[in-house]
Amino acid sequence: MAAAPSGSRTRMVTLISKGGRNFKMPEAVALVSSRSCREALDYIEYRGNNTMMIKLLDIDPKPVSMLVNFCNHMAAAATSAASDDAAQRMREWEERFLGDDVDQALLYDLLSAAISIQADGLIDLVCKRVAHMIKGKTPQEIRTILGIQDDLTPDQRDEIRTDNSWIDI
Amino acid sequence: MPSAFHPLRPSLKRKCKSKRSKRLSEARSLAAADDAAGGGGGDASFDLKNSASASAASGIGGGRGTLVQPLGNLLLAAARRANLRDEGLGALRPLPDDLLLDVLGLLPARDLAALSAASKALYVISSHDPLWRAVVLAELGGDFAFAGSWRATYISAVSGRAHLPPRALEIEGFYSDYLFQSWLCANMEMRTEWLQRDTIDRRRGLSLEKFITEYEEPNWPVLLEGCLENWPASQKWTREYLLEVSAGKEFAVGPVSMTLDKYFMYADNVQEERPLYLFDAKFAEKVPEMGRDYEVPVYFQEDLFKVLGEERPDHRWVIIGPAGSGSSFHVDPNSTSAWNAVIKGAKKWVMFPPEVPPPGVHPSADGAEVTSPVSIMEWFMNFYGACRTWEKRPVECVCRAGEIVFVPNGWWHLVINLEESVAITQNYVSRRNLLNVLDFLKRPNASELVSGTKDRVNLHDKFRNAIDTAYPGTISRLEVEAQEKAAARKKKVGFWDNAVDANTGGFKFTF
Repeated sequence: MAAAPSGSRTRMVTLISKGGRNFKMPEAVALVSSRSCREALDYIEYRGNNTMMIKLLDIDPKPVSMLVNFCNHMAAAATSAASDDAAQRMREWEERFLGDDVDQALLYDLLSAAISIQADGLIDLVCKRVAHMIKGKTPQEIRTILGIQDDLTPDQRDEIRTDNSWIDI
Repeated sequence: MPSAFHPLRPSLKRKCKSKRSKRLSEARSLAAADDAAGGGGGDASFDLKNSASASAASGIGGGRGTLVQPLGNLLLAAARRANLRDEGLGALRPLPDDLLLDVLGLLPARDLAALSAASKALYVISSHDPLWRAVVLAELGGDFAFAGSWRATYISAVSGRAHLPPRALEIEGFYSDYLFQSWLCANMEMRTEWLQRDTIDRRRGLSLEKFITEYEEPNWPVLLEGCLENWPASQKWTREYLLEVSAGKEFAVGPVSMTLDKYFMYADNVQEERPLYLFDAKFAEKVPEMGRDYEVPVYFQEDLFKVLGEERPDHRWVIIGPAGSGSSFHVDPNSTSAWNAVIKGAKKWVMFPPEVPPPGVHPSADGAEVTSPVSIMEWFMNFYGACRTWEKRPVECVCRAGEIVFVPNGWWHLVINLEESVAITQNYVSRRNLLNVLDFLKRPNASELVSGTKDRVNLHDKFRNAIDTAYPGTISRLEVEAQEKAAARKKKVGFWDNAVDANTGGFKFTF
């Protein structure tokens, strides 16, 4: 990892959302969570204003701001010591971060943003949240949650039921 | 309110993160899809296994059959049609297929079954057999009776034998490059042109001195013929014998352990992109008779890790696998050299020197891992062709029963079984690569890279001290020789135009 040139301000990473809104974080923070930023360091040179700009122009401001929020939190957590307590606090934070107020549309926008900068930790977290949404549900409940029609024919439904008679769904 | 987002299935090994890099930086090549689309369903361009063609035609069987087509077909379809995937996934539509499978990979079997009953598209996705493989291995370990597909295997196991194996529904109109590629790789056979080049040196009756000067010192591969004629294993190791002599013993197969009879039941019926491979480092301890059925060829008997006795890293494996099983590109650990002897069957080898990462393979900067590990079949489909136009072509061969391949230290290699194969492989350290190994073990990240031993951090010191005790002065002598050679080499023109030094053994990331 290249050191910041001496005498300069802290290097920043700026994410630009739809509508041209800027969300900044220190480069060190971005490096903890974003694989793209880590890999980019090998290639780019900082000029002028010391900021790496990343355009996420098709993503709304809210998920981008959540992404920066996530990166900040992970960078802070990385500096504190690991412990059962810390792990528990992290789980609680994750539950609040992707709580009930985060509807599916926001969740998937957040996922797009995470994919854009290869924030693997956030991608994993969203995947877990989605899996949790599906776990333990009946097929009809799944349809309701995802907003899909049942397009199986009666014959297909019968066959699936037979195949799955080993389990009660 | 969800109570916790901890992993929903205990101790399930997630796909390694390198998959994300693969997805983003490299297309799951549409070239393959275009080929298949242009070939009217795929048979013209790809050699599908017979069973795959049959099931593709009729849509039945334990496998996927016609459930998924490549996106190219959607574009070329005569009538305008929608992709079943779009409507059928609903809110999940924005997720790319590989992430969708990651999500489903977190769910236990019950939820996969519930999903399959929700819509046609969800049926297609949740019957993706690798999902069920993970379920079987996590819940049943090695104790399963393979029933043609992983889904059938799981359902038979949990519901008792009376239950009929599930049939794949015929569902049309689902297009996905990712899933199609997965199906294609699972059902393809190796194309003849991939097997034609045989550029390795083949030697018979080579003296030890010549082996050392012509291959081991220059660190160059060679295929040795006629070395296994005295091995009892060559005659004795039929399936019946192996089953008898290993009865009840479990061998390491991927993430689980299983008995050989169950493994053969799997190997005889499997059709997947990355078949499970029996690869056991303790076979001679588990079945001493197997250890007595072979002997180390004379070329490889100097093995300095012996000085560590019980504390030496894992060094010998029996390898058994069906056609299609194998190892994708990697470099052997600890900077050791290796030999691989085929007792039954045949293996295709592709090897690149240490300074030349194969096309499509990207070692991380510290060499600790390979990012983007494509499967063997995918590598041949998408990258093998590139080798033909490179100046730096790989060394290739097909190694058959009775032959041994010498893999010099640091060399990249990929191996695929062309038929069911049984082999023995060992890694070793001779005086020729002793310095390389010591250098490797000295590295700051050696504790991650050094494999096969429990005591990673101190291996360098232990090994060095043990050598100095057993062979005093050897290391210093070798260091002096190495310096003299390096000075001489600087004047010589390298084998390849930019003087690749195949003797460094180090693992450097270049581009």
